[in-house]
Amino acid sequence: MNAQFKRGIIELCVLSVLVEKDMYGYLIINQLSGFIDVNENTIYPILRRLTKEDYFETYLEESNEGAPRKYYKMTEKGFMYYLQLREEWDSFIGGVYQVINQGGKKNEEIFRRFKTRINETKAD
Amino acid sequence: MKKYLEDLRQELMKQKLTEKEIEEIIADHKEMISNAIDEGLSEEEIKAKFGKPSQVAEELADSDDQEPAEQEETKGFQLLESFEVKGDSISVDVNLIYEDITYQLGEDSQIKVFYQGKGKVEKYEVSYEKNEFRLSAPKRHGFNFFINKEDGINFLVELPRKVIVNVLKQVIISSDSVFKNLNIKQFIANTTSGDLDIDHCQVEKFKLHSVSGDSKIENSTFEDMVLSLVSGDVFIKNTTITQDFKASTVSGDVHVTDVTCVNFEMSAVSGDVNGKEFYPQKVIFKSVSGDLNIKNKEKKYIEIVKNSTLSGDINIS
Repeated sequence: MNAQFKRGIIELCVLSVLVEKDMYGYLIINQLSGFIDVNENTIYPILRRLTKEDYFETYLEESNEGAPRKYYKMTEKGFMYYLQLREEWDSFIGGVYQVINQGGKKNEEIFRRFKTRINETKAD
Repeated sequence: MKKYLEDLRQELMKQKLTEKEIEEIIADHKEMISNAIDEGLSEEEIKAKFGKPSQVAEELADSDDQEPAEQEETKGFQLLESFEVKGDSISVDVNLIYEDITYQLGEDSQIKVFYQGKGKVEKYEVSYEKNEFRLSAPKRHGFNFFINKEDGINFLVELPRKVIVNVLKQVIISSDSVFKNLNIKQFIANTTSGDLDIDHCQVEKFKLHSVSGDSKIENSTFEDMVLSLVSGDVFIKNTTITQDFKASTVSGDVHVTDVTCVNFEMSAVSGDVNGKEFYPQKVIFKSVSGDLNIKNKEKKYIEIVKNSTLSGDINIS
């Protein structure tokens, strides 16, 4: 997948988990990699960039096990950005679904029509 | 984990990130990896989860990519002279009175001097000999207090991107000067009332002497910085000083935001130093009534090595 495009989607995913609650880096990575195929080297740079843009703030909190953890907290600016991305995504993905479902959702149907067409061209 | 972090540090250094950024990134990874270890992940699993250090560094450099400072358009300027540079280093010596000047990078191997304005450009000394570039205003005889604006002249100097500037020395009276994207080993600037603007430069040794000119330094890295101010103010932002930072000021204030350095030495009469996200490791403070105020989010320890003041205060919070 186009790297830029993928980055944009993951950005939205990161925003979507942090809109619900503050989390530390490793937890965010775990949450996302449970659903989509991404690892740390994609997510961490996004966290960092969004923090630089003031979409997140960070604070340290002691943990029961070992060193304190750096938590990411969404700012109001971050929330506005989340809304904007979410809207863009919804309208984009809505359009994508309309295009790919033009011929219906049933693969057998699509395959049957495709096969007839192939045979017709061969017959010519 | 140690090895991974060391490799990551190496890779980050290759990507020209600032020291402060590298420290932050390493600390974050240390935390995340130890989280993974606590969770019982094997070394293999951790490797898969975190990726190769080189990839991490590249991704970070990509997304942290600092745009260079926007360069001045040469349109609207006329080319005065150009000099072919053969070696890989040059020195620059500039003496001006009231003419504004901008230095930036050019893509070819020439030093190019542009000008605009109606002033008598032929009276300026412009030369390039033995790897030294010189630009000097005509010597003035007697008193010339009234300079007709219509006779004004501004310069734009382009230095070859691939060339290192060994020494850049600029002595000016009231000219404003702008430095963009330069790589300088030794940078000496003297100004009476002219303002200085340094953006996206890499400098080893920097010495600024300013009487009443204000200076702005942004997005740059220095090895050592020495400021000597009378009443001029200095604003430093998003800049790394890898070694020492010395500021002596009579009444000029120094504003420091997002800056790290090792030793910070301040000597002031009534000038203040106001730091925000300013992280020196050690501080030497001498003042009559000037204050040192630092407001940081991260609570890193700052050691006060020496503190002698009459009525000044150190406030670190």
